[in-house]
Amino acid sequence: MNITPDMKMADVLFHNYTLLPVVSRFNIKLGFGDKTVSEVCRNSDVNLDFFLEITNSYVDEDYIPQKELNTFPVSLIVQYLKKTHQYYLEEKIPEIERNIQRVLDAEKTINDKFSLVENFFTEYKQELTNHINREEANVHPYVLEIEAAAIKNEINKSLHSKIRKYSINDFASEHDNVEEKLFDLKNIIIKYLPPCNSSGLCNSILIELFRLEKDLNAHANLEDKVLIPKVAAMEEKLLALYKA
Amino acid sequence: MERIKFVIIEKSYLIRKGIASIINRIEHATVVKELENLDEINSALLKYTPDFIVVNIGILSDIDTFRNTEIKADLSQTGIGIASGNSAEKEKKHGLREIISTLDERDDIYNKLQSLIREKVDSRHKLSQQTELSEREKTILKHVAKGLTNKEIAEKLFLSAHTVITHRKNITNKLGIKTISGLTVYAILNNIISIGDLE
Ligand SMILES: [Fe+2]
Ligand SMILES: [Fe+2]
Repeated sequence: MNITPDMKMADVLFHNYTLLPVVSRFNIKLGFGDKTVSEVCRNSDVNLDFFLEITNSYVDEDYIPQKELNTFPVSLIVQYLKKTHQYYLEEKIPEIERNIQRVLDAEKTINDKFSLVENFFTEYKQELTNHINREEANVHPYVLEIEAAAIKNEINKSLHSKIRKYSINDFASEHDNVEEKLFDLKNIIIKYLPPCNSSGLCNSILIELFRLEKDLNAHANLEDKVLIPKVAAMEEKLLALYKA
Repeated sequence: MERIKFVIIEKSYLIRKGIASIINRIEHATVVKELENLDEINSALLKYTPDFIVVNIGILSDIDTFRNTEIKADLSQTGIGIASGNSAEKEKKHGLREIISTLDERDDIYNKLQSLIREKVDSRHKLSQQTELSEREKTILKHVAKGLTNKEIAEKLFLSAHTVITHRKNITNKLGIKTISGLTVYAILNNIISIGDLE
């Protein structure tokens, strides 16, 4: 069932609780009463169409965008991507780390084995942090610059050489998959670690890993399938303009 | 199970999207990358390691000019050609695994693709059912965990790089673990390597 403007926001969340963190990313706070999706968005200063596209594609992998996601400004997409990064680094990762630590404290007998999980996750955290830092330090400012130039329909020499030196497609080809390691980690915990007595804790670690993986997938889709093609098209236009 | 991955190389937007929408509706299948031409083919193949490549027959000959014999040989297993219109192209195989025509009915295309995907899924299943690593695979896993590259492992064990890659694919299929860090943890947990060996 697609999420539409006149549905009640509360109902949307009753049906798809996985959207909770997504809704928070839009700075929308709980306590909706009977307000509809469109009312809540209006009150919270959220672009309704963007909200609908993001939430619908989040809950339904086969969702076919109603509005070309490409019509949204790059700045809006970047803002959302940043919020998501923040959610990973400030909420999700620390939460999983805490639970890993709790298992380590509780499971003295398989401690040495479980500390492999800890190391693995620390390594993963570093990888994810690097991935995100690189996007925020280089890619985001670059795509915003491209968009500003495309709006003004103007390209100067320095931007031209920037595009020549490192275009969005160069980024696309280097954009690595940060979900793979998570998949392996789940597999190791489910299949290969010795039985863990704190099964409640292990389960919550696994559930968080499943959620994080799903979220990262949606995030990467937004980067790879929406942002990159959109910026690539702008670059192409700007390069043509420079030639002329 | 990991999905069967497709890369589509086709200039026409409509044809590309049409085929992608059929593929994405088939169970276990997904389109990982759409390309308009051959420009980025090498990096795309490296990055996405597709199981099948759907390519317009019109640009097939250009692959020759790349002199990329590895890709070309592979296409007999992984290549699916798109023949346009009512040309006679669709009557030949062009050294590919399968040919679909833009005039084919949706169901025809769906069925052709589905049977290829089935076959692939079945063979993966067979692989994943035997999860015990062979001695050779354990040796290779040990070197992978130590951080050696495929090339270094090949030299050490007097194997071709290609053989090492095949072994690694089999290890990953058997264990369901893809990354080097994951394989390392597995190797330690199963005493294939000790933490001390990693230093
Ligand atoms: Fe990102
Ligand atoms: Fe990313």
